[in-house]
Amino acid sequence: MTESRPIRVVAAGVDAPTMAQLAQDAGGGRVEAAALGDMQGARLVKKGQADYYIGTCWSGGGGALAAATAILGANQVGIVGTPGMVVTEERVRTMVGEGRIAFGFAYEQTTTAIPIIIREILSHRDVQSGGGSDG
Amino acid sequence: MAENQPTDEQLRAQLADEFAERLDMLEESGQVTKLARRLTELSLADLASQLGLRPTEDNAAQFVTHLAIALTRINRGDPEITVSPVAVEEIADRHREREAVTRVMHDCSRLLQRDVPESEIAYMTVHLSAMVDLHAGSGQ
Repeated sequence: MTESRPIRVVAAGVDAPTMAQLAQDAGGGRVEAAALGDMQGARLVKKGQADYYIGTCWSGGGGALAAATAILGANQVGIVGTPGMVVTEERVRTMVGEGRIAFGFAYEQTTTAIPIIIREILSHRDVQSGGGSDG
Repeated sequence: MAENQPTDEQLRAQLADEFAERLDMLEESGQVTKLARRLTELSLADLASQLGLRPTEDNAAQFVTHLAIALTRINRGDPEITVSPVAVEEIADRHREREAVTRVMHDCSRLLQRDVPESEIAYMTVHLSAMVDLHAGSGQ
């Protein structure tokens, strides 16, 4: 049986409200997402009041995950895309499987990255809770 | 009646205080060097003075983080980053902001003893432009 509690995602960075909306839409009712400042969002994850953090900046480099890296630790975060690195399901799946809980990417990748991240998080949750997913 | 303008020294102190928590966090986690932090504070005050801005956590957090991380990359001699065509297009008409960043980075370059690549200037300009737009939108 899959866990019924929604996955709580915080979005921070360039146009965070749109990021949050995309995450919620991609979750199909299984994700609650909110736009927050980067420090506030990372602290909620640290305290267990949110499950995952997604962050953007223009270059996809340090800025997207700077606060999350400082607050959660480098082993909890992962850059999944930059302008020169396409976001792939394999990379996201690996990072989610490693237990990373904060993901960064370039702003211009927002519409492609977020559905992939949410899909992989949901698949991971299904596997962990002993459920399955057809899609 | 016109608001009293802070002196350059007061402005630097105000901004260092406004972003102290953020910059402490970045420096303590090893993501930002001490020199890059100091240059971030000085550059921010210089840009605020030049462009008539009042940077705050609400309108300038991303810019400050980006600036500190970018100056650290340059300070550490990291490989030059690639600028995205989307970012280039975003700042095509932001001449005022680009000139301001270029001027300030000219000063930073001397202290860093390194050139500041055009790609870094471009991304700083994107972030500064976003801050300028937020500032204008907030009616400050």
